[in-house]
Amino acid sequence: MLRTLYKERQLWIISVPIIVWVLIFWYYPMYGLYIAFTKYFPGQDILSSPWVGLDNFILFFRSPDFWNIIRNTLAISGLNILFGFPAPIILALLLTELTGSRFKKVVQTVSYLPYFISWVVLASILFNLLGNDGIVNQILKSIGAVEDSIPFLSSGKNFWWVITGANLWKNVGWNTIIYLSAIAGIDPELYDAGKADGLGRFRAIWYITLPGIRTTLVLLMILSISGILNAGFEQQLLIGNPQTIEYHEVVDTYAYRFGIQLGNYSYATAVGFFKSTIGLVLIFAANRVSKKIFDVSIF
Amino acid sequence: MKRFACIFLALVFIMTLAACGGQQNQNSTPTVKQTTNEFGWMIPDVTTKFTMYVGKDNPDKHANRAKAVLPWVKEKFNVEIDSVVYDVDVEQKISLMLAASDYPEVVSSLTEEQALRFVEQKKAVNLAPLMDKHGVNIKKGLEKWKIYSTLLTEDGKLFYLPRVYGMIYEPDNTAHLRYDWYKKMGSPSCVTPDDYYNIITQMVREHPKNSKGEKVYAISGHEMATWGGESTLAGLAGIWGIKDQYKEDASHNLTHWVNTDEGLAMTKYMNRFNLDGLLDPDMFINKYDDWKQKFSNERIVGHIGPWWNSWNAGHEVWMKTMSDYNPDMRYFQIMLKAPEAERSYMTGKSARATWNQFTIITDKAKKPEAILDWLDFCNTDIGRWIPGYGRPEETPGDGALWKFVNGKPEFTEGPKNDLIKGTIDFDKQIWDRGAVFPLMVCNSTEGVRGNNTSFMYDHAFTDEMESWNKMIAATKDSIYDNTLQKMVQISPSTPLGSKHQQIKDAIISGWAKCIYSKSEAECEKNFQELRDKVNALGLKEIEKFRTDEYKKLLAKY
Repeated sequence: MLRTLYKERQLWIISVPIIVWVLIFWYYPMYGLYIAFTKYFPGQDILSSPWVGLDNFILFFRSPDFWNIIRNTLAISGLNILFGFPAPIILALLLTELTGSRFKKVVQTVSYLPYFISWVVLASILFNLLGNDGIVNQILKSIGAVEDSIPFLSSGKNFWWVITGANLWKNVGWNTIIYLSAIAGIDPELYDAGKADGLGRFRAIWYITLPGIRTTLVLLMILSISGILNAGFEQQLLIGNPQTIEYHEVVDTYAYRFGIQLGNYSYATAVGFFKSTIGLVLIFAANRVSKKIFDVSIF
Repeated sequence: MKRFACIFLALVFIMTLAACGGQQNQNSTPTVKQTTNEFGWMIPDVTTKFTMYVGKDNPDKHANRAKAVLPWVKEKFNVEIDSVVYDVDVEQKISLMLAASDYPEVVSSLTEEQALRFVEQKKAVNLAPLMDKHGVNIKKGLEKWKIYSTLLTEDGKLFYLPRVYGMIYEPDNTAHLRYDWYKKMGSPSCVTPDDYYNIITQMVREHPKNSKGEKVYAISGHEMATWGGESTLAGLAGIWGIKDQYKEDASHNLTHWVNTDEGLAMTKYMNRFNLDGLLDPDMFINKYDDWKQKFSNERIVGHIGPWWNSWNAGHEVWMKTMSDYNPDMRYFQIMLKAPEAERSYMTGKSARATWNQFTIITDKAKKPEAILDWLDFCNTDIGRWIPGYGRPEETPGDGALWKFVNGKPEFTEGPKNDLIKGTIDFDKQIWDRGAVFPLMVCNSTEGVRGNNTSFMYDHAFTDEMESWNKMIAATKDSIYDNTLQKMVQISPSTPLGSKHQQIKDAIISGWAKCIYSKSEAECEKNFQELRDKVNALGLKEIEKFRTDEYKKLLAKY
């Protein structure tokens, strides 16, 4: 162990600032998790707050909203993975197939742009597009497709699809970057050999590109699964409204509204801790499954 | 040389000590004699300095308003106040303040529960022992409204003061009608909810589209998840005889409107608008600014909510934007009463916490009595002009709202005439003069011109304002004293508080479903579902808690 450390000393020295940074900003604040097990009020000393054990967790599990929140979180995350995971792969494959480099750059830039738009602006765009008086409803009405406006934003049932669409539009371009770089790492000679063996474009994608980026795909899949309880936050708060609350409340917004806004910091921490624990379990499970099936893992 | 250096250093040391001692002396024994200024304020020899947090607002706007009055206060009174706001929710800000132990000497705009949090952590100063010497006028004012004792703890301590106390007999919630259209209709009687329905639906029939060709709705709403919704629901329920969303029976038992027939009636009433295609589909999405835009674009005809909504979104906009504006183009406010209700309870008023906000002096204050002296001065006959109306006139026509001539305060003519004419710009001519927001942390509602007026500038001239008088006359019978019911608080940081919030969310969400139902039968079915849902969530428990606490207060006061 010591010999290995000594051998890799240059690497360790380079890593020291990062390790210190991780320790200070990622591990040290974790002592705050203690308040999940106490009745803490801001201003009190954390360690002298009254110990309540698992009460905050039990309160959350027994909350009448619990299953609704879990359902919404899983549904929104599930839809994000279902559509949001393959979409950048498909876009990256399509971009790789483009031959005109100028056009390719324009498409890439245009597809990245939404990522830089804040949710506040995006929410405003959505209201103008999909509101009861929005452009989409106006067009539908003007062509006689509907008589009354479709309540895209004020109907809970539509909310999951609206939020999935918004997430997809915002992130698809940005998420292609990692796949484009993975594709760029594939040896071009493989494509030449494939061509010589009579592979067409689609078959080259299937037999060369996708296997070539398999490791990246699996790693990102593992990470997405571990973040399945991260179903969004700002988008729900900004686009959601009282009519959609049954469908838009997710773990993070619940922790914010019932924890931070009502001053229940211990409760908010317990809810957040629960979410992190599930994420940790999922990452181990997904890593194990992936190791077994694809022989690829992140640790 | 060495000896010379030693002597020199010793001399320097002695002189430094002497200088320090001298400074200390200066601090401990003031040499300046205290004098009384023209306002009757005894100018302190040492500047009274403190920072005051006065809630959530735009900091730039607030700084501009504060600049209009605070330097003058420093100059004339030797009181240096730093009045601050943050554009952050008060709950979050005070939580951060408490967590970081970084809070100012005076913290205002707190709910009673938030004030209690400072008290529990021993961060609020007990003012009771100071009141007889430094808070005489405040105490007198609170006692006048019989609320001083309600602020004391069981053992006689006083930790917080109301930001504004006393009654303002203005309606918080009213029904709103467009005056020129109403006049054109022949001013039909409008007393019951049905009258109101018929009148505003008739108005929509006559004006189905606005000048831009956009669809017009009879009624809408804004901020339904928060204050706008609270106001609309309290106003609506009040029409059916329910006080502040709870029906009180002869034995003082409180039942939430969801569990009453009146609640169903008011829900069906709103659903009627939807069935006729006259309810704004964005009612639960609208922020206040969205609603204001629609309202000022003449897309919404009626409103049930705070009286000022249709003033602010109606004629105050039209006066500035329409070249052919005429004074009849405005809204007026009325009360409604359902025939089956004994009386209308659209607006509940609490003398104890007119704004439902409280002020504490914190343990950061080195001299709480000096701060209390200032707050007390602001409760004297002359002193209250300062937090109420800002800095007095220095040069004629400088736009100040008042002047101090020959030892007497009086209003200036310019802004007053603009107000009476209805052409005043509230932001520029009133708030930017430093009125109310930078300094008001503990004041009476009482006006400087007698009992019918209040501390608000526009309320000072209600005698001369025809529209205001009409509103008061038309709504006064729906205003009631709700002090005790408002004293019942459910702390949000308790399990019952969480339940309360869940129930509030479920009510708004379920009520939206009810009023957007596609038939009356569906509305009734959805209402029953809402009732079952919120009762399962614990509404009965909330009703019991409120009833028990309310009865305790009734017995005590």
